Amino acid sequence: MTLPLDRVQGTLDMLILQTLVAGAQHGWAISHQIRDRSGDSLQVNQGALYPALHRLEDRGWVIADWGISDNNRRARFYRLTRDGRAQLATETESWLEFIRAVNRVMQIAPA
Amino acid sequence: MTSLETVGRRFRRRLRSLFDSRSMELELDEELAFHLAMEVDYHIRRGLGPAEARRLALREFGGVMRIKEESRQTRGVGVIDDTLRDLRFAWRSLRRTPVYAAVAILTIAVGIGVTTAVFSVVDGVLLRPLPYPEAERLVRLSERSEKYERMSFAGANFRDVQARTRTVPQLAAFYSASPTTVLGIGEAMRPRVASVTKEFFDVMGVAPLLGRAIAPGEGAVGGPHVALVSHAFWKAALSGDSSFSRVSLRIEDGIVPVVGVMPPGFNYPTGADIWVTAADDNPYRTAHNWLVIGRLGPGATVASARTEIDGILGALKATHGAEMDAEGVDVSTLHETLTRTSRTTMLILLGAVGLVLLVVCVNLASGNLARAETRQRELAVQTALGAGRWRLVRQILTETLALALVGGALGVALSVVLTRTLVALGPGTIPGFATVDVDGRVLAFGFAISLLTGLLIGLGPALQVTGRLRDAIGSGSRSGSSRAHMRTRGVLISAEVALAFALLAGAGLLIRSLATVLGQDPGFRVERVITADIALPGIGYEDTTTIARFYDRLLADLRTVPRVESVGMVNQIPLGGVSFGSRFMVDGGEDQVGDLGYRVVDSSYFRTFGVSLVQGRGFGASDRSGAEHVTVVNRAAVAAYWPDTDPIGHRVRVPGMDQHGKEWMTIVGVVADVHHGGLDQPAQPEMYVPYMQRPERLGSGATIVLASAAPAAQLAGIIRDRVRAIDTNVPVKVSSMSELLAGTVASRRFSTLVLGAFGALALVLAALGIYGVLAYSVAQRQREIGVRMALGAQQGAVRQLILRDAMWAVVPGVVVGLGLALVLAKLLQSLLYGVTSTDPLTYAGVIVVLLLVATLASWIPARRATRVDPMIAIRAE
Repeated sequence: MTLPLDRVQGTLDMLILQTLVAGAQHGWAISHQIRDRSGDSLQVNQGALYPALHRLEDRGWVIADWGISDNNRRARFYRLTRDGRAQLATETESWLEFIRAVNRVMQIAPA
Repeated sequence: MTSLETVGRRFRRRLRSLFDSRSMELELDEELAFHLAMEVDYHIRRGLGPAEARRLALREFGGVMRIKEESRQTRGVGVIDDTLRDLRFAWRSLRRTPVYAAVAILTIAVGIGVTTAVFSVVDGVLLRPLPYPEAERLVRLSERSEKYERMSFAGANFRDVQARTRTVPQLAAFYSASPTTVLGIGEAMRPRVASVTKEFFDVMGVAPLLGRAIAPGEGAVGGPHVALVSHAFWKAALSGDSSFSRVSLRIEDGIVPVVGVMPPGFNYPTGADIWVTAADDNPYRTAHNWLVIGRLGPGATVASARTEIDGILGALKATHGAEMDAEGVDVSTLHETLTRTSRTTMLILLGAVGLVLLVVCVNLASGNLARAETRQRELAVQTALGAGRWRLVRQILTETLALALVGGALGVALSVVLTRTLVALGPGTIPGFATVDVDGRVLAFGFAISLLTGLLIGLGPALQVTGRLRDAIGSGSRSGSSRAHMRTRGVLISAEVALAFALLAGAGLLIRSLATVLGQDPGFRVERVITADIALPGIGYEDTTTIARFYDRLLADLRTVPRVESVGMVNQIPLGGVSFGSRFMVDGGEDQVGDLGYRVVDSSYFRTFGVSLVQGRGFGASDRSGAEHVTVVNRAAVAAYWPDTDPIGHRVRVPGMDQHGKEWMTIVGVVADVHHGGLDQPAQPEMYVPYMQRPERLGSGATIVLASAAPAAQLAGIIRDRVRAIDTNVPVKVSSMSELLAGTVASRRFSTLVLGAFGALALVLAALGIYGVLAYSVAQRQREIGVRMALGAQQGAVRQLILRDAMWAVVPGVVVGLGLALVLAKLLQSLLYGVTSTDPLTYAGVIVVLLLVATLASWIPARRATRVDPMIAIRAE
């Protein structure tokens, strides 16, 4: 099955926004957090991550600032904006709707 | 969803990426480097060696370039970014070829400059609406008969139409502004006075700037009359004084108070300094005295007004029969009436400058094609690296558009100068011409035409070159597609030659016409003739005796002036723009035989003015009042009315010119024809009468003619003094016959000059184009030429090879140009004099000039070809 392209992109956006709910993160941490939380089943390709981050930044859902990482390197930290939180809610709602729709077809009770 | 804050942030980000893209790129590099470092650390922490960790991290990282490109695109400034990059690229590549850039920019500047200048003139004269409220509703009315398309209105007919029409509820009649003696402000003056009926300013819809309009009760027959003055006249003659209302003017035989000053832009009838009210109770319906202007009522159109007033005049004609000659009306918009005479000239100028601009475009397109071709390999490489065709086309277009805009900006600056030059050179007879200037409209036009030029120059070559990139890559050599390009350039050269041909032929025909006009024998002496226009005021010169006494004394006085060889006098000077004439009867009969111009002269006029006596005698001292009235006719009159008999001794009678209408005159002499209306106007049948017998017409104005080697400026003061010594209230204007003559050909000279300049410009551009293309082709064909020479080709043969190439493009251009010129020359018809639009001499001349110039232009590249060193040329590739 191929998911519609905007679904894939929207999902990545949603995942990134979700990892930022707890606070600002740099790109590497975001990608590892997504991987860890998914139990290594979701690997975010860097080639997708940075364009996505910059796209989110351009839309005003995240703001980027330069800061110092745990190991004392200069890193670019991304944090959520108010618009970003709102967007996350929308994305989440739409994702759940998608899952429910698929589940109805598969006749599986919602988790 | 998107807050204002976000919009602002996004805007700042885009601005930054536009103007600070370098630091954004650096940030992106740093961010990616950080990620890579973190990844390497991560792998090391998990127990890999540093080298292995790095290799793994890099592999996972993927194409750095792609990430960067995609990130860049999220900034959404791809197009602007590309354009800026293209502009930088264009700048660098143009800097490498400064000669090409300079020639291109200058060519565009000249093209845009002349086009914009001509547009500003055409716009000012033809296109711009008249400066009156709802000017499109202003119409001019004329009487129409089977014989005349347009005649002035008779006062009686005007009054009847005014009373009955519903389509043109506002109507006014007026005289066009003519020089009139005005007293009452210091020295006697001769401003242009227009007589208008009391409705005039209401029809025009313009109120006075100062003072008041015509009040009810003023301007009626016999009633009080008032005058309004133009803003310029108020400034100059009344020194802008607000107490103008205390001034009264003596105009003709009346005294009128000045009640108002019109606003500065108000210039109708054209040239008027003073408007004075007038009314008419003349009952004669053939007294065609008045021009009529009206304002269409709501819902009325020119056509509906024509239909309605045709009906009114038709009914009047049915009532009055032979007492009235008008059969209908002509209604035209005021704008059309004012531009009627200049329209042809303006359209021809516009067409000609369009051709010049086309030549400029073709020229640059061919240069640009050669340029794009030399870049073909580089473009092919870009294609291989993934650049789309549209992207490459845009890159080429950016360069030509940049050139066009820089050239266009220069051109618009140039057009300001050119417009002023055109206005200075232009004939004063075209309404609106003197006030033409470059304004916002014109600037917008210049900008638009620059963009268009850039597109025309760039698009063709860009499409052609990028369309063949695949071939270019395949062949791996520059020569791969040059045959096809050579053909295209040949076609461009042909087009350029053809366009130049059309312009040169037009210019040639006009030059031949001007030469024919100037070569025409005017029938009088032009050199060393000084004229002094005298205008007697109406007051003090009411009767024949006082008029005759004034001139008797003045002529005698002027004859004593040193260096004046002889002095004569005429009531209407040739080329003066006015002729009076009348129907006449012959030998005691009562039938009107035909029309004769009527000129009053003194006995030395013919001698002074060099009008040669063909037969009989001129006037003498014996032709005095009381003696038998005599007349002298011209050759045209003899040809028209006495073709087979000796005119001497026949008698004629002219009713209506003066108080001697019942008196018979005997023809005593025949003189040569004089082109009174202008050199390009045929001589009319005319008669001369001696002023000692019939001085009345001199009362309204006369011209003294002085034969003298002294310059007009030197004699002007003396003449003025002599006039003033007799009467200080008589204004005098001194000029010379050569000035008058120049005035009558000014319009013709102007269009000839402009078209000639355009033709010359097109010729130079065509020569440059031919030279450029050949020089390029010689450079491209070095190897081939080298091989030929190595195989023993003589220098002459090589030269011929190149020249033949040139002629392959030039000769078809000449043939097409001949056809084009023959078609376009028909449009010039109305400006031609003494030549037909198919004049073989002109076309032969143009062919010779074009072939000669083309040969010259190809000579230098051809000679360069013979200098090719075979060894170097063959090794070159």
